[in-house]
Amino acid sequence: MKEIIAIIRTEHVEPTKGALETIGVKGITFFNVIGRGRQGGTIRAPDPEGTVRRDVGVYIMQQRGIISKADDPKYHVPVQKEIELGFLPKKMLMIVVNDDEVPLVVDTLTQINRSGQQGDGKIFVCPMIDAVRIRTGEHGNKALS
Amino acid sequence: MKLIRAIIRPESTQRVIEALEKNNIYAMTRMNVTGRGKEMGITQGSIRYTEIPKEMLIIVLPDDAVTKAVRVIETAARTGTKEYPASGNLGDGKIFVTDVEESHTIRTGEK
Repeated sequence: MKEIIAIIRTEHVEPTKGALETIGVKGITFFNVIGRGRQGGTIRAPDPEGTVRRDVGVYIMQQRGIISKADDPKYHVPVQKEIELGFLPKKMLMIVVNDDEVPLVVDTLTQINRSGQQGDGKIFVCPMIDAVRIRTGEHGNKALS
Repeated sequence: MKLIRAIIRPESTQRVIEALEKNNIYAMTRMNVTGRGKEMGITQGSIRYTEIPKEMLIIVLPDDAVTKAVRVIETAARTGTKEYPASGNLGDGKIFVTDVEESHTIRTGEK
């Protein structure tokens, strides 16, 4: 048995639920959590305040006669600034499945939750020693089926 | 890889996070939980509180960084009296370390 812990965006919860249902995973536990990643809660974005830096490349292009005026605002490059976001609200999923189902569940979670932006989340696979169905007292794989 | 679950006092959370930041650990998940220890909660006068609010930090780290991180959390989360600031009190919390077999980044799909 394996425990899959996935930390995903809150807006991806509904599609994830639907996708997991279609592959036959029914038991999921959701947690409301806040968290941050390797960047420590900062992202890089263009500074809206309008401080611009002239790219060195345009001066070279002016020297070589490709463009006539390097001071033209359309060649300005916005300065990137770091924005502090801190801890952001996320959803944590806990799924316990048999060993052979792990790759399928991980692939499904990855495909549904991937937007390509920072903050898509992480999936951890941990060993789980035992599971017990409280209603009947069944142990192990029987408790999951 | 190991998964660290630290259950600490809510008021010491900020201190623990700052201590981890100093050791270059930024990635973590926080969770509000309630719980009790082997003292079965606390008794104030005639009222017994059996569920005490705590904060849980979940951190996944490579094996070689775990011992240091646990020590950092331990020192930062330990409270004390005025005379002995690091003597420790009941309810300072627990740290659990478990195995992680795989870890996937959803954005890139890398293992």
